[in-house]
Amino acid sequence: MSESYDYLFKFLIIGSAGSGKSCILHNFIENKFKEDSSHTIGVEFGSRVVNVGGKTIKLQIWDTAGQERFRSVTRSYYRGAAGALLVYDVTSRDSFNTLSNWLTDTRNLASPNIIIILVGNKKDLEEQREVTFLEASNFAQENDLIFLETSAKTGENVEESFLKCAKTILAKIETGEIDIESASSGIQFSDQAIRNNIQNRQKASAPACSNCRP
Amino acid sequence: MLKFLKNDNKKKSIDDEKIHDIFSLDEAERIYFENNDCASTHNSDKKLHRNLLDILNDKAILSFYIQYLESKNGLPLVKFWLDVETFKTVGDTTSSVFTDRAESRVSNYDNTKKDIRRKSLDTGCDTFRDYDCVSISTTTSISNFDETEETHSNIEDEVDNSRTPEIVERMTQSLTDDEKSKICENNRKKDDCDPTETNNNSITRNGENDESRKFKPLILEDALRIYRKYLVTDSMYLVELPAIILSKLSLALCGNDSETEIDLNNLWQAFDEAQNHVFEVMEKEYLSEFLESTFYSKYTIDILTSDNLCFEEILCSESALFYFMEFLEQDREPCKIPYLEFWLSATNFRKQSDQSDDLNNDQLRMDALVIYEKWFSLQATSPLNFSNKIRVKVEEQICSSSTPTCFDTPIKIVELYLERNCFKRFMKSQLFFKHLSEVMSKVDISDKNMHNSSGIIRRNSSYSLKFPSNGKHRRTNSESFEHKMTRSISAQNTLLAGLDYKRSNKNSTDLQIDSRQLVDPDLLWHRHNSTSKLSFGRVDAYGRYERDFVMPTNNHFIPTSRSFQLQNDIIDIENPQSIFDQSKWNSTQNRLKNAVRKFVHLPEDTMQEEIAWQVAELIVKDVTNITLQNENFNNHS
Repeated sequence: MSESYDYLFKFLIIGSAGSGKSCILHNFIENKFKEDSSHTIGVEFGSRVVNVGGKTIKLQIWDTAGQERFRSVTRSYYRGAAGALLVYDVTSRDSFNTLSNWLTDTRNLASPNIIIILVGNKKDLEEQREVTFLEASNFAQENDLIFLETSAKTGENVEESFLKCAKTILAKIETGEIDIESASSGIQFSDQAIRNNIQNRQKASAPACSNCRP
Repeated sequence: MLKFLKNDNKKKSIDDEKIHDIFSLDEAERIYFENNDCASTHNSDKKLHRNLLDILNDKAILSFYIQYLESKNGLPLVKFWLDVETFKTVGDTTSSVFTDRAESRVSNYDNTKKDIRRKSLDTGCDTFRDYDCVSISTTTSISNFDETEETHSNIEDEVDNSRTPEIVERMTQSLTDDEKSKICENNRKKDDCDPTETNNNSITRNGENDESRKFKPLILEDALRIYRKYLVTDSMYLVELPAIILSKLSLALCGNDSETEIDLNNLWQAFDEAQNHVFEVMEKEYLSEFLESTFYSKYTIDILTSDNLCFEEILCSESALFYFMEFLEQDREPCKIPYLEFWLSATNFRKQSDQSDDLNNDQLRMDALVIYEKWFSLQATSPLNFSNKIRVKVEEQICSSSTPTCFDTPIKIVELYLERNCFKRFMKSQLFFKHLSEVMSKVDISDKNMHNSSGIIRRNSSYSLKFPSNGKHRRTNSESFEHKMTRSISAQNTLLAGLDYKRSNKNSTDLQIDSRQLVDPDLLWHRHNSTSKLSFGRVDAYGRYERDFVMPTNNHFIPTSRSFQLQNDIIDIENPQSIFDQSKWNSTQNRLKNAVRKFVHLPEDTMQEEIAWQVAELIVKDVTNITLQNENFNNHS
């Protein structure tokens, strides 16, 4: 079996319609901007292998439809995600206002340990901006999110947002905060990775995670 | 014309087959249309349900859901829902029979009957009723012999199907005699209805009125009983309803006492509202938790390990889909991925159009066009290469009024295509076992946590691998058993490759043990099973062999004749009784054998199995050798 990665993370991209979720995914995978993209029907996916902190991580990314009418369909894909990019459009106040809805949905449906990155997309359209950086970062702080502004067009910060998310998850795994054996963690690991992890944990004599479960 | 096309297709695909060994899309199309001609499309009975209505309608999962709700003190909700459902089905049947004209009655009744069947709500309720009847016939032996006998065959079926006999016990424990008789009466009433309906043709209008008069009080009685059971404040099965719904229901019931004309419609409406409310509560508060619960995991294991697991269930369970997608990416042919993408989009398109009440045709058409342009059109960005016939058909349907169903045929064809090409290999893949072991570990973790506290959870008999969860087996390292399980499950058949190596190195000194471990024997017991991932047990610090497999009743793990010698080797460190008690051995429940079969990946191939057994034997021999050597070592020093 060609298992050339240490971990496999399930990622979600969520957010209002037209905020550029599919473009972010496209940019991340193909490294170029998708000019004429149509709206997503239900869900699409892509994957890419990244390197974070010496570990090879494969990201399986599920790009969901933003339209309200697809909500009930896309909700079913939230389960078992390890990380999520919550995308809004900096040029649209509406997309920012609905963020809290998305957040409650995600917290309710995805695994409790999910790492959410707040992404303000379309950073390049500075003159049409409706949501300031400060405002969004305040929102992020209140809700315990990591915040970045990106541009799927120029590619600015696109890769960073995925990497940051992966990095945070990895850090949580290493400290034992996330139990990778849990079926709902959205994290797959190769055998080597789990073995190293166990050894690390034993060295640090950290308590086994399964014991701290409620 | 169609026939001609079909033949044409057939010829083409046969030619294709000769060229490639792989199942082609054309082939899938051909098979689809052939099956479609002789029988309607295999109406999929999806088992890995995600929405509540499906759960309530499928008795196999319903029993797990009831167990779950019971552990969360939410039992009244589901009981109320099911009772009202029974009440409504009975009511619907009778009312439609008696309010309609005599001529249309027969067909109408048939329709309702079909309706009931199709919704299979009846079965869900039957589960309940039959369970209750079991207890009556066995405990109180009520005189309704004809009835109990009649349901008896049903009962057996039910119990067999749901595979959870303990629920019968538990359900009946929680029911009072009053309820039992009530439910029985429900049953009887239904039986009463049946004969009248079979004689429908001969019933005159007068008879009709008489009967409707006869049945009205019964319906009311039922309604009152449900009300008393669930909605009176001091009831032990209190279901909390919002004041509006409750008062409406009370009004509908009270009004009926005073008036001579019974307004059953009002009553049913009120009950509908109450039922919907309960449904919402169940969905909001309990559904997602249930899907995370050990009960659902157990059910999933049941499904995943069953012999007739079908491909659709993999596609419909998003956690399995995660693995399947990864499997496709790792697979030799990543060109299958667009098909899966199409499948996802198209099914989501279908689901969305089913769910939205106000069908916006323009919007639907737009969505359909997006899918069409991506996968079907001649300029498609990722063409799936369907035949022209399919493409034209889709085009026609998008433009016509049947937009929501336009992708139904391609969906089925893609399903068939993926199933034939990938499903078997996926089932044998490491990723599938990872998925399975993850679900299993979830059950075990919860079992361990809840075993002492509540005692509600019992091991379900139908999943195949069991691991120790209590103090019976000492653990010498801090590693939790899930780790071991995951690793032992995901261990591949690379072991077979190592077979020759192991044979030539029967001297245990050469078992990949580094010298440190020989100097410090204690280290050996902290080894991470690096030599044999396929562990069925290990030797503890005292040289005793511990099994990873639990024998729940001491009779499931009795070896076959082949493995018998294997067991002989460790007979001195095992409990000899349990091994030699061959009479207890039940071949259908030989879990270890099943497990080994899975590792071998070739269910039918007995040769492979043989080898696997030999490997297992070798491993055990190695382990015992090490143990003996260690004893010698200790003796010498």
